Formats: sequence, C-alpha cells, structure tokens
Amino acid sequence: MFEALTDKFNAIFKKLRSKGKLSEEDVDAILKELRMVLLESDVHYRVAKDLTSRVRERAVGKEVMESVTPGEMVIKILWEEIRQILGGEARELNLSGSFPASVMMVGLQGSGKTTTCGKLGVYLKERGFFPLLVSTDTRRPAAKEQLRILAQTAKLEFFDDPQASTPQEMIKKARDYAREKSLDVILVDTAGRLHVEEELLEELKELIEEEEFSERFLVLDATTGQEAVKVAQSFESWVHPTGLILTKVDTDARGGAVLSIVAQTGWPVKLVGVGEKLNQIEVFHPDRMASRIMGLGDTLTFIEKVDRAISEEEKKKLEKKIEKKELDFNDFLEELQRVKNVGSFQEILDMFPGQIRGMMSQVDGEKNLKRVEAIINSMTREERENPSLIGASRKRRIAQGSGTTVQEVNKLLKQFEDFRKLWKQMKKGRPLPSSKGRGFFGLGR
Amino acid sequence: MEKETTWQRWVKGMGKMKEEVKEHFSQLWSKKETGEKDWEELEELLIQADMGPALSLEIVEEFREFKKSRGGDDWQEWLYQKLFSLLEGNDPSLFASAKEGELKAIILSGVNGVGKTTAAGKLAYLFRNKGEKVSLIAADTFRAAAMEQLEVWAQRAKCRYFRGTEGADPGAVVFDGISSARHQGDTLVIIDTAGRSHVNKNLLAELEKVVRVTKKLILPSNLESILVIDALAGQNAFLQAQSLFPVADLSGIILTKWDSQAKGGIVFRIGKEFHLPVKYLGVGEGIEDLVPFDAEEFVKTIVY
Ligand SMILES: Nc1nc2c(ncn2[C@@H]2O[C@H](COP(=O)(O)OP(=O)(O)OP(=O)(O)O)[C@@H](O)[C@H]2O)c(=O)[nH]1
Ligand SMILES: Nc1nc2c(ncn2[C@@H]2O[C@H](COP(=O)(O)OP(=O)(O)OP(=O)(O)O)[C@@H](O)[C@H]2O)c(=O)[nH]1
Ligand SMILES: [Mg+2]
Ligand SMILES: [Mg+2]
Repeated sequence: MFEALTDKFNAIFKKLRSKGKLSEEDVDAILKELRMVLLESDVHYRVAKDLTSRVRERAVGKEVMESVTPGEMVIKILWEEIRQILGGEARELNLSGSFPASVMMVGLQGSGKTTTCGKLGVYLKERGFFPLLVSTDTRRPAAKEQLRILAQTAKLEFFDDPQASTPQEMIKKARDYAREKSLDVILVDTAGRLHVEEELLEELKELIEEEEFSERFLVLDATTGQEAVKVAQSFESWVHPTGLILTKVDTDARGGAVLSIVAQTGWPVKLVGVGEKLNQIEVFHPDRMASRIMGLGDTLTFIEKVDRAISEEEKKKLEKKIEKKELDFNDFLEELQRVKNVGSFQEILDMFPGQIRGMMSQVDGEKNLKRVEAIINSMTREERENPSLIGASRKRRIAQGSGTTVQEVNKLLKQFEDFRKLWKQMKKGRPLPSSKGRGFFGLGR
Repeated sequence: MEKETTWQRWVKGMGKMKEEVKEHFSQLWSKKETGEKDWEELEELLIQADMGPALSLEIVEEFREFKKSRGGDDWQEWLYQKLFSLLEGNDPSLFASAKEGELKAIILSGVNGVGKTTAAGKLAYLFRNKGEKVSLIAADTFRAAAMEQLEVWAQRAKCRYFRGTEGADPGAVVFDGISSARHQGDTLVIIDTAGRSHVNKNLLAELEKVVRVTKKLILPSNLESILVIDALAGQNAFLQAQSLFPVADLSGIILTKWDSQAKGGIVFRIGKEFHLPVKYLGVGEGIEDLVPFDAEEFVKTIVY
C-alpha cells in the first residue's frame, strides 16, 4: 500500500522542476494527488478541500531543498496540518463528577460498543479502578449475555436486573449496587442505533438528561465512510459526546472518518481499539494516525526521513560555508534570519551540529536572540565579514543603531571570536573546552 | 402490499441522494456555461455517496464529454446506461442453477460487526417461508455470545440450529453441522462465521478452511458464498472484498444497514471491479428487513 503510494508520488515528483521556490503549479499538481489520497482514505470531501487549501497557502513560495523533493515537502506540511487537527498529546479519561462516575458508550450498530465496554473495564482495572459493567441493550439478541461473558472472562463486576424496565432504572440500580460494593466507575453499554433513528436517539437524550455521565463516548468504526460527518452531527445534537473511541484500527482502514469528525466537532479521540481481545485497547497517537490517513502506514518512518533530510541539509550548508572560509557574521545572520522563519528558537538550535548546539543553548531564549540579531544588523557588510575592523567608534555606532550598549557589542564580538576558535578546533577534531558558565552570545544575562 | 413496503424502504434508504443527483445532472445538462466549479460539485456529490474518488471522477469526465459532444439529447438515458453498466449482469437470485434435491449452503463472511449473524437470521426466515427446511450453523465460536445470538435468530425464524462448543474449530463445527442437517433431511444450511479483519492472515486461513470443508460436502452449484458489507463503510469495503474474494470464493454481496441512508455507492465500485452481484439489502434490525437487490430498479430510482 505504502509502496504503491510512494511510487505514485515519485512519478509526479519527477515531473516537477521546481528550482528555487515551490511554484503554485507544482504545489497544485501535488495537492491534486494528495486530495485523491485523502478521499480514498474516506476523509470527508469538504475536510479534504479545506486541508489542501491550507497546505497550498503554506507551501507555495517555500524554498526548495536539494535532498528533499518538493513533493516530500508538501506531504510533510499536510501531515503537520492533519496532526494539528487530530490534537496534541493523549488526553486522560474524565472520571470526575458524581460518585460512582459513569461512562457511557453510544454509536451505530456493530461499531464495537459492547467490546469496548469490556476493554475499558480491563483498562481501568489495570489502573487501580473498580469498574462495574452494565448493559442497557434489550434490543440486540443476546446483547446482555455478550457483556456478561466479557465481564466474566476479564473478572470484572457485571450488573443486571431483569426487572428494570428502562435504561434509567437499570442505571439507578447499578449505581446502588456499585455504592454497596464500593465500585467507583460504571461502564454503561447502550444498544446500537443509526444517526437517522430519531426515536432511539430521543431515548438516549432522555437518559443523559436524567443521569450524569462524566464521559459519553461515541464509538466509531475506523472503516466508516463519508457518512461519518452526518453521524457525528446527529449524535452531537442528541447526546453531545465528550470524546471518541476509534475501533477496528487493526484493519487496514485508513480511518479518514475520524479526521472528518474531529475537524468538525473538536472531540478528543481518547482511545483506540486494535483487535477483538479485551487487552487490545491503546491510547491515541495523533502522529501515527496522521501518517495512516495519508497512506504512509502506521509508522513515522517517512516523516522522520524528511525531517532528517531537512536538518542534514541545513547542517551541510552551514558546514560548507565554514569550510570555504572562516565563519563570519554574515553567515550567522543569514542562518538566523532563515531559521527564524522556520520556527522556534529550539528548532534553530536543533539545526546546529551537536557540540555547538550545547553552547548556543545557553543563549537566554528568543529575547537575546533578537538583540544579537539587532547588533549584527547594525554592522556594515564589511564589518560582518571582518569583525576585526570594528574599533571604538564603530562599536558606538553599532550600539546606537541596534538600541543596545557598547558593552553588549563588546561581549558579542568577544564571544564570536571564541566561537570561531572553537569552531576551528572542532574542525581539527579536538574536543571543545567546557563552556560552562561562559554563556555564548549571552547578552544581558 | 409487500411490494409497496419494499419499495418505500428502498427509497427511504437512499435519503436525499436521488433528488440531489437528478438536480445536479439536469442543471448541468441545461447550463450553457459550465465552470470547473460546477463539475467539482458533481464530483463531490458522487464522492459523498462513497463511490470513491476515481469512479466519481470517471463518471464526471464521461458526462462532461457527453455534454460537449452532445452525443445524445437525453442525460437521463446516458446516466442510466452508465450506472447500470457498472452493475451489469447483477443477478440477485440465489441458487439460480442449484441441483434440486441436493443440500444447499450459504456461507456468510465479512469483517466485524457488519451484520452477518443478523443476515443469517433474516435469510433463514426468508427461505423457510419459501418452503426450505433450514438449519442455522454457528461457526462463530470465538465472539462472546455469538452462538447465543444466532440461537435467538433460529427461534425467531423457527428453524433448526446447530452449534459446536465454545472455542471449537469452525471447520469442524461446519462439518458436523452439515452432516447433521443432511441426516435431519434439511434442504438448506446457513453458516454464520465470525467477523474477521481481512488483514489477519490466521483468520483468513480459518475462513478458507470453513469454505474448503463446505465445498467437500456441498455441490458447487448449491453453494453461495456471500460477503456481507456495511453500507456505511467507505473505501475499505473495497479492500475487504479484494482480500476475501480469493479466500472465500465469493459469489455475491449482502449490503446491510441500508436504512442508514448512507447511499452505499461502494456497490458501484465493487460491481465495476469484481462483478460481484449484490443479492440483498439489509434495511433494518427486524427479521423481515431484507430486500432483494434489483439493479435496474435501483439505478432507475437514482436517475428518474
Ligand atoms: N478487529 C477488531 N474488531 C473489533 C474491535 N472492537 C470490536 N470488534 C468486533 O466488532 C464486532 C462488533 O462489536 P460489538 O462490541 O458487538 O459492537 P456493538 O457496537 O456493541 O454492536 P451493537 O450492540 O450490535 O450495536 C465484534 O465482532 C467485535 O469483536 C477492534 O478494535 N478490532
Ligand atoms: N439498522 C440496521 N442494523 C443492522 C442491520 N443488519 C444488522 N444490523 C445490526 O448491526 C449489529 C451487528 O450485527 P451482527 O449481525 O451481530 O453483525 P455480525 O457481522 O454478525 O458481527 P460479528 O459477528 O461480531 O462480526 C446489530 O446490532 C444488528 O442489529 C441492518 O440492515 N440495519
Ligand atoms: Mg453491543
Ligand atoms: Mg456475528
């Protein structure tokens, strides 16, 4: 799958001749293919459209690199956008509120609610909770029996009362039972229902109006198609889910439906089901999911490769300069300005070879970086190439021009000189002296 | 009366799709100046029906060409032909060439939770009403309460029910089930298999064995191997068909949860690539909620 896709991409990339900057045409050519990939992954067409236009904005005009094809760059940007939508780090379950806490599973028929109830029971038990499983599904044949067997297999508490005539009644009784037995989380299974079955959704609505649930999970099958968006809309208006649990992630479904839903609702994906067995539940990894939706497989290999290629190239550029002549302020300023567009100070640091990075990291964040930049900006081209030209009057001019002090200019010059020496030493293969406490470029420390 | 409800369920299952398709095509057809955007909207409509991006684009481009060349003056006729060609030769009947007096078998397979067990119950009811002596065989020995679930369906359909022990080898259960059915003078066995991810090699091998055992006991003409697909599934359903096709020697499809209004455009894609006929649509959770799929009626409903 992944192979086929990369082959396909490579064929397009060969046709691209982007030199210098990524042109509109090239970006559009790539995005056309990527849109197909997204749709093939069941991403909703509107979400796919939004995504590609956002990527377009970010990609057009970007500088082309030697070791990374324009296509790879665009893929990387798309990946970042998708990951962004899917959310940051894994989020904890919310079990606050009433005691015992109640968690409910809702969703379409066959999406995996009952199985997930069992899995969540195991998951919570492993984390020191005492869960109680209860089923309100009186419609599907043997639904209660299914949950009872799952509970038994996993040695979890299961509650049933054949006398209970409504879901409300069942849950109330389960609560009493939980209190009595000192169980702290009730996991409520509900009957599957379609997003167009209004009477059944009304039933859920009444249930959540009467009973407090700290989590209401929409359990979503990863193989769901374009209809997923309507499913989410409908459940949102009847049940207001607090999050998603994505099931059947062990299939090769690319799971675009989850992206469509999260893009629309902002619900966090809390857990994913990766098999039929009760221990096959995992926390959600947005970056893996992003790769998967793009048909890059579950691994980050591709994205990491591009990342590595980019930073290798940056390093090589820097090293080349240093080889041909001595490192000067021009090089340094150029680097600063270029990488500033890329991202944060940390990212800038990461682009320098290891040992230098250690020293540079003593710069006190972005504030000092700005002052350094201002000082270099106030130098003439000649001064930057040959810092030894900078005498007392020039120092005063530079300080004034940059809104800093002569002391700060002195400090920068002195430390830049140190830096050059270290650089040379390093090129000769000698270890660097400890830079502890010296603070390279450490203005105003 | 029966025809009426069938029809209504069908139409309802298609949601607004049919109005939208008609509207888009007829508007585009009569529009003098069409821009990229118009065509894109049409493409999106088809994609929304889960036809898949490639097939959607194909239809749009061919329609565009047709409009340009004015290859005819009837867009409805054109669309009918195009869609119908994707389902060409779709014969919804089961056992069209079965040998009379010999035991018949239906194997139901598919990924998890699509509706195999429910379909087994509905089929048992349907065929019992046609006068067959039906036996339901529970070859899902894995999932919790799968056998109990099928047993309830057997009671509802008033047919015989055969189960093995929990965790037993499904192939062995099928062997015993068919032997028992033959012994009892049944005319049709319906085999419910466990849901399986189509990428799980062990489970595919298990299914292969079930099919192999069945083939040893049942004439090829008397065997239907049916893939059950969820109408809500997206493009992955296509991959499911692709991987189960060689393993289960499929002869047809049942598309379930048609009442979800999910359009099920995937049937066109599967029809196009595999020529697998759609046999029935599942239109609800009740025992009568199974409708024979009539490709002609289906396409007509979309187009006219
Ligand atoms: N491969 C795989 N199968 C799963 C996963 N989660 C659930 N299943 C299977 O999916 C099928 C349906 O699961 P259930 O838990 O019965 O689904 P449900 O939502 O309770 O179904 P209804 O109550 O009928 O609406 C079963 O065969 C499960 O074993 C998963 O993460 N991976
Ligand atoms: N609305 C609707 N629900 C259906 C239809 N067919 C099945 N279902 C429901 O889908 C859920 C799963 O059905 P099952 O028959 O258990 O599915 P399965 O394929 O046997 O599941 P596993 O054996 O766990 O893989 C149940 O809640 C059924 O009631 C249908 O046509 N329409
Ligand atoms: Mg259930
Ligand atoms: Mg089943």
